[in-house]
Amino acid sequence: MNATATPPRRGNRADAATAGRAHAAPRADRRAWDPAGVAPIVAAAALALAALPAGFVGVAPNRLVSGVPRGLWEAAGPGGCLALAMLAAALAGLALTGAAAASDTTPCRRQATLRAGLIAALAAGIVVLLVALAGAAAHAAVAADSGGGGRTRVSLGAAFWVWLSLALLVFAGALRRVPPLPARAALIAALAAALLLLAGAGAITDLSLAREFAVNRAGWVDAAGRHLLLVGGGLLVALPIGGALGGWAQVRPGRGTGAFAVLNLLQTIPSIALFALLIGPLTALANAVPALRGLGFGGIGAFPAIIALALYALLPVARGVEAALRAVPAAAVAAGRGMGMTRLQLLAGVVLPLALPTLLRMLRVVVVQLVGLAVLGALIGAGGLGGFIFRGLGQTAADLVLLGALSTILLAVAAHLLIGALIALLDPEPAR
Amino acid sequence: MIELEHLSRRFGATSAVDDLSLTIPRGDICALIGPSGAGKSTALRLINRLIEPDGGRVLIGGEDAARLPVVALRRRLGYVIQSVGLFPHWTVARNIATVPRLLGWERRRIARRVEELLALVGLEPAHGGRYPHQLSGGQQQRVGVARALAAEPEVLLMDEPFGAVDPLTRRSLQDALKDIQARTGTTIVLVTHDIDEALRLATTLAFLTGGRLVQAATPHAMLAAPASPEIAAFLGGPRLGLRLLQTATAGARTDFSRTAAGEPLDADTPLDEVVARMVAAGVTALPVRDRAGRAGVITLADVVAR
Repeated sequence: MNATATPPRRGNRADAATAGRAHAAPRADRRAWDPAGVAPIVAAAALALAALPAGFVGVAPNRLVSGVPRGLWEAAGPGGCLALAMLAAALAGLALTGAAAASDTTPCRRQATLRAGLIAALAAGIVVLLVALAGAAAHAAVAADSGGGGRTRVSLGAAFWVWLSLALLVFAGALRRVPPLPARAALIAALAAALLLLAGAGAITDLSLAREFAVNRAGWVDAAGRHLLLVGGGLLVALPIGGALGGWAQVRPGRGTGAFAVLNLLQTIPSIALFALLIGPLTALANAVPALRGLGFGGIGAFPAIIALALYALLPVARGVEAALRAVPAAAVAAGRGMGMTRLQLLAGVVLPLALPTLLRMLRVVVVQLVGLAVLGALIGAGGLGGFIFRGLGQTAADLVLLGALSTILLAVAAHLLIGALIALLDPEPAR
Repeated sequence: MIELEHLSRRFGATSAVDDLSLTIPRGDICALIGPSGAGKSTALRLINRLIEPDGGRVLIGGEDAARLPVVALRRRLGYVIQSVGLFPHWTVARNIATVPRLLGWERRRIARRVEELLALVGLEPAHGGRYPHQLSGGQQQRVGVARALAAEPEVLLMDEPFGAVDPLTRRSLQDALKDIQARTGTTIVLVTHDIDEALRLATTLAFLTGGRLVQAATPHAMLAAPASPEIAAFLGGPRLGLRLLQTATAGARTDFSRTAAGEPLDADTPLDEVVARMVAAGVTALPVRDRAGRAGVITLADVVAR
């Protein structure tokens, strides 16, 4: 369930951050280096230390038994601990001096950017190191238990997750203070490449998560493709209908209220309920018109999932289109009309370009939301990454659940980053 | 030349423009004045058919505007609005080039025209590459005027063009517009609330109230003989006489047979400024020199004589 809730929130938060940066860059910078900024650093450090006694990895004799936690010292050895401690200390030091630098009245933009870039790089380094250490610990545990016949399972422990989350948060936070787009893209690409290299080099193959992946590899590719298909299908339905509704509401503000009331109501239906509710009427419809069934139409499968996703996307799409159109200065439209632009010229030359950044931000939120929601498609036989989650829940195989959830999150983050890059490319002048 | 013939337009039960007939000769600057809701803006928009009339017609250079394709009509008429409405995603040069591009002018001709217009409205060539948000309000208005003039329109329609800028900027924009009009001879129809602006710019004042034209006359004629108490009140009530001074210059009242000592006034100085100088200096006579270099004297008695 975690997977379904997390991606949309991530999307919204980052959205607010982009908007803030676009309109009040200097203020955001000052706030970032405020002395009050020391508090979150101290809190993060305290949290990191508090997680120390928890298990870094858990070792279980087989897939179904819960593991025995092993602490960092035991799992990573003195070398690993030292490396991790040094990275963390460097990170904390940089962050603290950065926060202190805010008391200087002359905030040096370039220096702040450089510092943020370094912090991001260090945080990425910690992420990679954590994964490598866990992989090595798993390898050691499996090698030590030669009598287990390969059934030994090494799962990731609470401490690992706490530290990984902290490092990723620091990475994402620092990234926002690196304005040049290529630098930001390079940092993200470097982190992704390092993790892929680790996986490619076989450094994490003994982790239970990697084993689940290895077992399900063919199914995973199918499921991910299917997941994207569901999201794409939902968008394909929701974008034209929601767009038309949003446009209509913008042109006739009074009459749009009713439509939005219906969409709001739709949004309040619990997502699982909506997926289930559609089974009845769609089955009936497919029975009544057998020709439709040939097209994959029916109460279960991909079709109802796409319909449900589209229904959920309608409100944000309609609202987004309405907001985007409203953001187009009325004076520019009036002037264009007065100068003799045709409707089409006005739309293509003025309205669309001015609405595009807002439209893309809407699209980003909707895509991330749908990637999360599409997990539920598995419940009604639509497949997708949710399949792993529900299969894992059924078998109480936490790693299988994790595989599905992590894949979903990765997909959402990738979509978020891709659309974000597109927005940045299309809107190179943030001062507007 | 623009002829409005019995133009009418209703919005629901209210009549925004009611049987409006007005002829604006070529090269004229006609200011539509009157209280809020008098139908001035509606009248202006009836000309470029942003609003279609319920009755009557508009002739532009003798052609019935209703018979012309609406888009082609608007491209022949420059249009400036108070909020300027520059396209924020286009550079200043691209903004100015809007109508020439719509008309499919050749690229080099557009570039030349943009350069010309930047100079005409008093902007640097470098401004062409900037974006509207990088300009001041006054500069944006100048761009708005340049954009409206780009395709050498027969008529420039201006709806409270300088309403949103500070008084000093407004004055310099008015001077610039007057200068441009003198050079291009473009016919201008101007909607304004600002009676001083109307007096400074217009060659004809048309006073509207409740959608009806009450009086159309030269500024001087309207100030000298307002057709209704409402017009008199609008033009300044008890201070109307002071406004009257704005419509004549020192040269017309100067006695060139005499001379006086002191720094001479320019003969083009409006009479209200002459009075202001007299008050400031505590005198009742001032020396005047006209463009030809003739010297003369203007007295307070000459100023107030009708």
